[in-house]
Amino acid sequence: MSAEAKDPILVATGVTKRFGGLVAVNNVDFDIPQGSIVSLIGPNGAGKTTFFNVVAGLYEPTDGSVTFVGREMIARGRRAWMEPVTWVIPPVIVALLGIPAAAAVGAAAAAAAILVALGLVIAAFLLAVIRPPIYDRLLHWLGIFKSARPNEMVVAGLGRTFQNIRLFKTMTASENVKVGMHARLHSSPLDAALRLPRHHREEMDAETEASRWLAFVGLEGVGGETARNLAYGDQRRLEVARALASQPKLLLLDEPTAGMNPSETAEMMTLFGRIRAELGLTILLIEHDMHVVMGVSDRVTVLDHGEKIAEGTPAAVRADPRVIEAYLGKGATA
Amino acid sequence: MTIVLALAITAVALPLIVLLPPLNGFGTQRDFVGGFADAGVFVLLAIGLNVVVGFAGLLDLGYAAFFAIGAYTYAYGASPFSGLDIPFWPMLLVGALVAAMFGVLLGAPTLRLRGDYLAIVTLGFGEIVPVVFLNADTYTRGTNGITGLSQPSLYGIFGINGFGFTDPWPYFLTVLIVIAVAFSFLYRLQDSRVGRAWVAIREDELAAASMGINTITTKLLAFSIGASTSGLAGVFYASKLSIVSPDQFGFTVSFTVLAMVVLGGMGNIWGAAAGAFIVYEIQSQGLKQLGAFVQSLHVPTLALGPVSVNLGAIDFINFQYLLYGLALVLMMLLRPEGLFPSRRRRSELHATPDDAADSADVLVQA
Amino acid sequence: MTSATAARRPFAAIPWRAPLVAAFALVIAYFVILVGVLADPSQHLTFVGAIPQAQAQFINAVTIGAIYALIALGYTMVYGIIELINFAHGEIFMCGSFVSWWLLTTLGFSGAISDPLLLIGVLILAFAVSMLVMGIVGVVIERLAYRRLRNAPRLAPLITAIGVSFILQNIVFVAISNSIVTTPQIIPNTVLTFGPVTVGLINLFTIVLAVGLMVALHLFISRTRLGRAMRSTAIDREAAQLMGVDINTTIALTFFIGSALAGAAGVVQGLYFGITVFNIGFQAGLKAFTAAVLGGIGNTTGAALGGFVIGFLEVISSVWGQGRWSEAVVFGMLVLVLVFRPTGILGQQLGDRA
Ligand SMILES: Nc1ncnc2c1ncn2[C@@H]1O[C@H](COP(=O)(O)OP(=O)(O)OP(=O)(O)O)[C@@H](O)[C@H]1O
Ligand SMILES: [Mg+2]
Repeated sequence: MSAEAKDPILVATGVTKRFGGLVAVNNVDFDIPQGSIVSLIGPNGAGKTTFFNVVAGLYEPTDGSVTFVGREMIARGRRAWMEPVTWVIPPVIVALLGIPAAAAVGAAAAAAAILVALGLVIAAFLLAVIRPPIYDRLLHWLGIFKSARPNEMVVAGLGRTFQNIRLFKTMTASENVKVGMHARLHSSPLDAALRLPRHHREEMDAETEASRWLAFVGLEGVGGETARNLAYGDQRRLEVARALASQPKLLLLDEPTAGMNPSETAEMMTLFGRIRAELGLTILLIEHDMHVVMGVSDRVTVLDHGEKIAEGTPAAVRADPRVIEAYLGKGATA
Repeated sequence: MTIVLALAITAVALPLIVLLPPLNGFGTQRDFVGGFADAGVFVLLAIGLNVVVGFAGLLDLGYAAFFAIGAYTYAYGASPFSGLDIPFWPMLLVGALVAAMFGVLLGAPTLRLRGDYLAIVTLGFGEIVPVVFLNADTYTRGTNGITGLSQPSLYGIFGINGFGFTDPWPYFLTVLIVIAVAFSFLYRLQDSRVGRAWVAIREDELAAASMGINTITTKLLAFSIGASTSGLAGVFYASKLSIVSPDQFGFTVSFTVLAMVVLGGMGNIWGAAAGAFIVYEIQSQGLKQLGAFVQSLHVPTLALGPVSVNLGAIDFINFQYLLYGLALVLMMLLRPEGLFPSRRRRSELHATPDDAADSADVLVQA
Repeated sequence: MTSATAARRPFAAIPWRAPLVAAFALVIAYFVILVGVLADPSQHLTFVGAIPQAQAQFINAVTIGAIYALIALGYTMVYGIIELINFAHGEIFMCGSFVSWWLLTTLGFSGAISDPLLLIGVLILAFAVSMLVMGIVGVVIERLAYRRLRNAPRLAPLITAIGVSFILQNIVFVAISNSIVTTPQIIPNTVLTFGPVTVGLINLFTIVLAVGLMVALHLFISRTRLGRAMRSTAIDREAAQLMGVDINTTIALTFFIGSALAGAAGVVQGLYFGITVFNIGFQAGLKAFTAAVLGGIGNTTGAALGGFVIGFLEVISSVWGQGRWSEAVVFGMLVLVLVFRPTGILGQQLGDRA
């Protein structure tokens, strides 16, 4: 691989997450090289899932920041109080300049100017709710930073699965996958309400693509099945397909083989390989099954009590006394 | 197309059915048709609320606020009070748009909240809006309300000018057309990108956000679409009654519409519409007839402590909210998917405890 | 993992600074009321002339606040333990006022009772009956309507609760009275003087009663075995169950206590205002719920505090001549709190699991 391709796709610096008095993740530095499979391991309650959730935009970190694809996406908000001020500035300008000018013309014009100012307040407020890119750029320019929301992380190229399966249970498998495509589809409610051809075409394409993703993870032909009726292993695979459907650059998998039997686990491992080889994705994997971790990872990072205690190749980590201690308790190394 | 056909059949069948016994004993065809036009208002309200509660799973308890906003919009657009006289047809659109705008404004602050907080905040808004119309009397004429609203007119097409007060037929046909349009729009949304997003949010908001759905805007959309349907209903209702006053839009309206949707089947637009029609007819016709029937039985008075019951003297109309309350509780306990369930909702509401534990995690703040 | 949030401490203690902050807030509130009274154009009062009125309004605010606080406790306890907004709770309060109305009128009272012993006896009877009856009603509602839905999707119990509230309200409406009912005000209209401060007997009684009940509740929750069971169930239902707590009994007990407190508030409503009506529960319930949210829902101390805040808000808006906007003010407050600090004044940061 060229040096450029090895630029990290994600860099976390000093990430800390506190829940009340509990420090779930403590000052973790972490990076994921482009195109690699990196594993995150650690005993129960070590803070792996919490770290995931910070990276995915679900939790705002207590401290530290996450840069994804070269852009700072996640950190504590900075100058957040200034955001409402930006809603007020345009109407104030209009009011200060417009109302005296309009009053010079006549009372009706002044009233109109007041209405315009009010309208601007509402418009600015709506802009803040809908947050088009231009609004974000404005905030950036003013030095205001807001942590990315989960859906913004998806748009930026991050896909994930959950430790406890969180499929949309009453939807069919293919509908689940289409929800995964949500951010890439464009048809508006109006297109749908008027049944425009464009909406129809997009739906048809989405359907075909959904079955392609299902086939990719080995779920041919179950597109019409309701998600909750699928077998456990298939539900896990469907979650992967749903995450892939957003065409992410980085895939976060939280214990994807939990509760699977050895043959299902082996299939899963093959799938990881294909995701990297055929789709060129980078994978961050949380896993308890050491066999899986050692088998697929380029690098392993170990968390314990929220802190990073070791990092390196699978073999090096396996031999690290601190890791053995974390897993087996004090005295195990003695 | 099915929808237009179904409504066309309704348009022909309903007025004919009431000519058959025993219905013809209860009133003239004209009375019935007028009642159907009013029922149509509730059908509109119900299919709109169904988008919010049924599709997106947001319990909006202040839905009557948008009904009020639609109605007052018409009052400002076409009454001697404002001096304007904008025709009914464009006002339908204006009412829908204004209501949608307020849907966004009132919805925006609430949509980051978890589901049950949203319910209570919308309830609060539902209380405030009539209070504002009541108290801002310089602009709304307070309790008296705004009177003398213009009637819809067809300007001589089909020989119809102003709809007038006496003939219910034009109103009946108008509301059917409005319902047909609103119904087919909402129906088509179900199987679209946004329809899927609503279901996803309803089932698991956190997972939906993690799949790239902007939960805020998507919920806001449900809110404003629901509100605009309610606005349509408001404009039609105001034009038919020719008067608006704050007491027409209290919590009981929101509650009635919710009962209609729950009875009919949340998430099923046909069910919501049917629920609205049935409940409205029971309330306006059924209870009256029941009262007359019981009165003819001459049951003696029962007394128990502070409670004394004289069945003969009972006006069963007073029981309507008691019945709605009972209906809500019994439906939730025994048949949560409603009388006419959607396939998806049935499997969702009969969730196993295990599923429910997952869906109970709601995103507090992202 | 389940939906339980370990970071939540439902029955948390008050921070030590609280008395200072509260005293400061009370002083401010007093001056706001005073200015309102002074500014009343219909009276033209001097500064000295306004003081007694301001004082009376201040005490009025505390009394009304005490009523809201009693109702709010039920909301917050139920929410703390099963995460349900019990919409029917306001109606429990309303029914409580009707129970005491019925009891007092059946016993033949219509006005103040001057014999202190008899008065005390009747009061104890009225509170005992109303609290017991409403407590049982609360438990029955939980058993019949909510228990089966404990694991259902969230919308289901909420809708059920609204249904129950309409059932209660309309039972009273059709079976007892569809208009305002006058209730006997058995506490004499005496005014007590403590130095510069004058307090109506009924106000003093209400405040002492409410504070007494709250202290008793606090001791019950923090000191007894059942109270501990309630706390642990609120934190993590499954874990509590594994530890041998009988969940059903604990939840029923929570409903009993919460509803009994609302029943007590209902009695006070009758004694203090002298009227009741089938639909007071709706507004009172909404305001009390606002109080609970204000204090951080699930937090009993917060609910009591929130009740007093709402009492002051209401009195201040009426003193300032804006009584008809008082609902709008309270709901505006609710929205602001929920949007900017959903965990309330005393609530902690809620985490969420994925
Ligand atoms: N939303 C939350 N609120 C409060 N505490 C939390 C929350 N989420 C996680 N925690 C706590 O943070 C710690 C780390 O939890 P986390 O789920 O990240 O561990 P994990 O490494 O994923 O463990 P496992 O292997 O069991 O999945 C735990 O002590 C957990 O109880
Ligand atoms: Mg985990």
